[in-house]
Amino acid sequence: MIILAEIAPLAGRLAFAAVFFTLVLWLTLMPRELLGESDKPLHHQVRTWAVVIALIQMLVYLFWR
Amino acid sequence: MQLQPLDIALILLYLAAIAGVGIWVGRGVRSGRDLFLGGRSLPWWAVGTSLVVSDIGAKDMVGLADDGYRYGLVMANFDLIGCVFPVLVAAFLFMPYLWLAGVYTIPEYLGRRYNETVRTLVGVCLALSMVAMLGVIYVSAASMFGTLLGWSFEMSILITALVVGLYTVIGGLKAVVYTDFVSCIVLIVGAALICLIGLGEVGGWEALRAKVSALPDTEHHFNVIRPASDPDYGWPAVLLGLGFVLGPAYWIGNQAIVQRTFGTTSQSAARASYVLCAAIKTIFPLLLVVPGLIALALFHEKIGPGGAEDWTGGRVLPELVKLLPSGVLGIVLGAFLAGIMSNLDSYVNSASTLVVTDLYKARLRKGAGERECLVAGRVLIVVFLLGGILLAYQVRKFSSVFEAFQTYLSLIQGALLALLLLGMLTRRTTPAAGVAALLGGVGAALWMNWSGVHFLWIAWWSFVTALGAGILVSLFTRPHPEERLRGLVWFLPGAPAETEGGEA
Repeated sequence: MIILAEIAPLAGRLAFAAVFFTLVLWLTLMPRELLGESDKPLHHQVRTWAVVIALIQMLVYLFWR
Repeated sequence: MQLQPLDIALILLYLAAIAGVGIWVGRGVRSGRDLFLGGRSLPWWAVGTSLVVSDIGAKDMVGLADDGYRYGLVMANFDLIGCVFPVLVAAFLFMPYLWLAGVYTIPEYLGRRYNETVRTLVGVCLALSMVAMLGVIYVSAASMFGTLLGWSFEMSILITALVVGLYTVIGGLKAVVYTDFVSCIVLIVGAALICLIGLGEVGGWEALRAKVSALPDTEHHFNVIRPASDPDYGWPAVLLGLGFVLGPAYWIGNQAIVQRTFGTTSQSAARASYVLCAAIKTIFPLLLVVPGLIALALFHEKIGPGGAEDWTGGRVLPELVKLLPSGVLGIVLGAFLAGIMSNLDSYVNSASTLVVTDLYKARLRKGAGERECLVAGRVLIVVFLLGGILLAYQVRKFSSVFEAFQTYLSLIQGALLALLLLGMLTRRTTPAAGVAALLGGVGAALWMNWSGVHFLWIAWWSFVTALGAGILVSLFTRPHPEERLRGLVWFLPGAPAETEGGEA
């Protein structure tokens, strides 16, 4: 029972982190032409900041306990 | 509680500043487009902060403090998986279609994608839910003003409605967005002060953990993820009901939220405003939920156990506010006012936009010009402010304003999300299926609510019901021709066609 209780929150953390990992992957692989930002440097692109925020969320869910 | 002259001066200064900014910025309003979309001239940074405070308000300050006391850091999920995730999805997947369609409202988009019946039904449901939200906001305001200032329920509500009504009627969305920018700063400063001073009283973070952990029924109060067996916020319910339904439906399909992005200058600016909102929202769990834990450590004997059968909401934040010295109290009350006013002005402006665009102009007065829409919009703002007052008496029956807010949302959000997903991502979904999905989803939600099901599961299962009904009916009915769906559906690029009526 103790093992199950320990595994369950771990399964939950992994599930939540997986959602944000999928989001990071999708944002990263989205073609530049769709966003109309190909002429901008990386740190001026909205997508870059979206990826950073999603990565932070993923780390919070993985490691906060 | 006796306010010092400094606190009163700060509150009056804030009210005057907000009313002044709102009236000055909104002085050029000449048409319905100006009132509802700010003339499509709003900068991304103002819209981004407006998105934050259109969501975060008095109900969150009061309600998340209550629920942080009762349940702990699991409530942070409402800002993490429940906000950051859907906001980023909305920015990069859904917003472009709404923007390109050039619509004022979500029902208007759904009307083009499905038919006018769907548009009208969704318009009515959303308008009713927004008036219910106004009731929630009024109750939040009254609980704070009653405890801190001794104001009656009626007096708190009337003063709130008068101040907000003044600049919203005059200035519309432009006034709302720029005052929200000021409110966002005040809200963050005020909430941070409560956190810092409260943590100082407790003795720091480690002392907070030790004191809370020593109390009964708090073993999960510092976990963001709770076990699946948890009766209230088990992780499957949070992930499915909040992360996949309530959150996306709110940030993609809530008129009060989405309307702001329609007021920006370009798609890129709209996207940037969403991302700024997501960035700011990552700090709100600390600012709004941790105060509940602080109150649990300091006032558990006075407030009582969070799991008590006779628990009544609205008592946690007022206790914390009593810790604050003069001057700081004025700023925090200003922050609270900021939260009330930014929420109220957002919902009332959006409810007015919905009714004028999707019911008045679409059904009753098809030839109505911009000037007529402006007048109708202003009248409706007053009507909705008054309607919210009546519904506030109903909201008082809930144990927490946050729970009331989420329960009202769960009645429509599941069906709305299914309509948006089926509509934007598939060509095969038919107009008749849209009607079936809406009626099936809302019907299931009402039945589950009546049966006492938790609002997270109501959201998830009403979404599943609506999705199932939409898919099933689509198998036996005819879809729109592809030309009509261009620009409205993924994989069908192009400029959307103008449609008149468009019944199936």
